[in-house]
Amino acid sequence: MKNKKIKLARVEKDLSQEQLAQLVGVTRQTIGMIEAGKFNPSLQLCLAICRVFGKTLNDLFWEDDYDETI
Amino acid sequence: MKLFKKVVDERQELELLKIEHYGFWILFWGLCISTIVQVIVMDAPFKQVAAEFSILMVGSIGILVGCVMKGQWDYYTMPNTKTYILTGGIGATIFCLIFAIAKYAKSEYYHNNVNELFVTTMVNFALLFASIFITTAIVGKLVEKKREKLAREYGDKDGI
Repeated sequence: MKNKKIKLARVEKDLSQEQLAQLVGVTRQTIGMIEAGKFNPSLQLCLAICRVFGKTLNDLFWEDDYDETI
Repeated sequence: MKLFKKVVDERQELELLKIEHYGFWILFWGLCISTIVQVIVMDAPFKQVAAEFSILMVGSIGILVGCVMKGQWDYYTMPNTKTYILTGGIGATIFCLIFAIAKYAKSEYYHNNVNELFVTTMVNFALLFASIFITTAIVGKLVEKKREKLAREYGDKDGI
């Protein structure tokens, strides 16, 4: 599932994927894949992203229509 | 429908991956050292090591293909000329050291013709260095291409 919340937060902060990647210490591809829902970040990386945006895990990673089936 | 259902949680899966990672590298280097020792030190005919050499090559090529397909390179280095030179240099130096020591110790001819052994070792070094350099450079370029493709595929399409 796509993570539009991170993309929105990034746009609000006027950051490119490359800049966000540098701030949290990953590659641009990783940020792209998180936004596209192709990669599940670790809790550590989620927290680093939250810190950059000054938001909570709930703000960026909570999915209201989350399907419990894994 | 999946034939086997996973019965491990994500922590167990990560730990299994770590165990498999160490297991793979122990097997890889063990096979590598065993092949080199048998061929160079023990003068075994190639026929004797053909099977393990084939397995080593299949494993190595599999890893290379996997890395290229996923755009992955290495834990500690980046795909650039410095890395290719270092890899070629280290690989060729280790191999040629073993080769030279083994030949000097075992061959009567090379024992009495040290200059010839030196020239042969240097030729081997040059050939091996070139082979490793070219191989790593090709794989590095392919990995970079894949990374660019991934960045394009999952990058900002609206230029944000």
